[in-house]
Amino acid sequence: MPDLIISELTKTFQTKVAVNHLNMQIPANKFIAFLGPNGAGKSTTVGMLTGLTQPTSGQITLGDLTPETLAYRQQIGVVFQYGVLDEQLTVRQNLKLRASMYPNVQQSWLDRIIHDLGLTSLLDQRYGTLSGGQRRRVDISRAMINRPKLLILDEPSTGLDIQTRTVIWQVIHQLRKELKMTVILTTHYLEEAEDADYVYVIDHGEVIAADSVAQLKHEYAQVEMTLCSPSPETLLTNLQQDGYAAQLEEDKVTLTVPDAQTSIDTLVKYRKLISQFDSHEGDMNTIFLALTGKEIR
Amino acid sequence: MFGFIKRNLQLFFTSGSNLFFSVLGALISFVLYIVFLKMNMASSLTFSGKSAVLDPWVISGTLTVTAVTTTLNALSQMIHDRETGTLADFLMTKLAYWQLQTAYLVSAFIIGWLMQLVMAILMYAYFAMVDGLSIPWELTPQLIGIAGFSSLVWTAFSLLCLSFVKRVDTLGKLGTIVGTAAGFFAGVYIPIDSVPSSAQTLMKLTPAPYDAAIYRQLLMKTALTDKFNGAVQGQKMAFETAFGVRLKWESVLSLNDVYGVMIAFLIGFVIVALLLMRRSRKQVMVRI
Repeated sequence: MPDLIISELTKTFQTKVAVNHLNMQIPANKFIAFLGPNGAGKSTTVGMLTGLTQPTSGQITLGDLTPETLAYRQQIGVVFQYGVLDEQLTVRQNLKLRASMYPNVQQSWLDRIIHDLGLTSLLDQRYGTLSGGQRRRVDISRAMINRPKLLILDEPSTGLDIQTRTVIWQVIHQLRKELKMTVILTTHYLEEAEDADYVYVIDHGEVIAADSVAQLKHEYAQVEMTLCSPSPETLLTNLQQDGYAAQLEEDKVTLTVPDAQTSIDTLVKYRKLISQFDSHEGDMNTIFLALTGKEIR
Repeated sequence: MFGFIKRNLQLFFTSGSNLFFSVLGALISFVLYIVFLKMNMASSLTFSGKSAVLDPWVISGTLTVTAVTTTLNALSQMIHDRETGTLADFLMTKLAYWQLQTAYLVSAFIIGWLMQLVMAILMYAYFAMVDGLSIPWELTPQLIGIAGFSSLVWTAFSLLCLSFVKRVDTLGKLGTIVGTAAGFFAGVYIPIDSVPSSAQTLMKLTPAPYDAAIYRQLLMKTALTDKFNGAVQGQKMAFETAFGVRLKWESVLSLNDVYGVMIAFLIGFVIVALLLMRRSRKQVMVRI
């Protein structure tokens, strides 16, 4: 599949700019996350990627195809933020109907995704009677019906329990490998974005950072250290004298240092005052905090 | 597209409340007639065997109301799908927007058609039991034809109505208004002659009395010929215009004129609805 290219994409609603001159080049077979708080413009971007929302200006292209064309839409699968299947119909009826609306969907493929997502026992239940997690699994199987080259998931795991999330992601990653599928995920769950090959951090309709998770961490996340000491006050004073912004929390000294090397230096220098320590890189939340100066909303 | 039409039919016919509310307006006129309107009207008629005339009269009006309310109710699925985002999902398939729209219309048309036939069967069965009304089986092909034509016109009318509706919430209100008004406009509660002439003019600005007239001319024909056999000339015509079997503009309209008026309404509705529809695709993504 060719790269998905987004250039100068802008969407304004009356006076509000939802998406502001967005530029991206998304290579095939990658797992991309759009991370941002609610109202950042993620869903509007998804709307434009699906061809359902018209951009005010700018372009989206997938090779020769643009989102307004049927051929483009045949290439994509979408898991919408809200369940969109017919509540009165059973899972089987819903899936069969959608399958009949695509050219050449093989029954064996349908059976396969139903099996993988653990829907076999739910087939004859009405969609409306399913639990949130069950619905999401059906939604994902629906999005996979046409073997999409590009799968777009708009906040797929909001309100889901951890087991369901795990199952869903296992299946998606497996199918992604098999179909060489590009996956675009919008989320405000940090853990979900951490698995992505590439993350776009979006706020106020603009990309404020774009890199691999490792690079983002390297660049923006500092190393958080927690030190235990027989004499914490002495350790604190020493650290503060050396210019570290260290704090005392319940007999433990906490501090952030720019990188792993500095943390090792610190440990070596004060080894006599340290009885135990813990050190880890900051997560996406700290990255977000560093980038925007605010917690993820 | 066939699968999508089937889905719309399935959603309509498997929902009991949907079915019930879609024919509520028709049921009301039918029940009101049975309970007291019939007695009221019968007292003003001089001939005997009044049921033979009045029963098909109310059946005709009720079928018109059925056509109005069921097509509107069926087409409402379109608004519902738009608001829930289901339409957005269907747009991801190989069907284009216009194909989906067409499928909604075809579904509403089929539903309106079938529901009129179902109501006709129910009402005839009731009157056959209670009044001993003989069922005019020989009229079945024409009845099916008229039901189809009437469904076509009212589907176009519904499309026009729904062009102004964006929210499911508004739908219920619109349904109530249309359902209530349909009975009045079709002249099913009281004969058209009994309302003031300004109201008569208002009624004639809608397709409802014409649709009812087409039905009445078919279903009441035998009974009227029978009752007015040997009567003074002009008496039959007077009765027919009073009861909305025939409609008067300057002069009494022929059946062909009535069909012509209906077709003009159909074309008018379609044109205006199409003009309004040009902007509707933009509303698909209401929830995103």
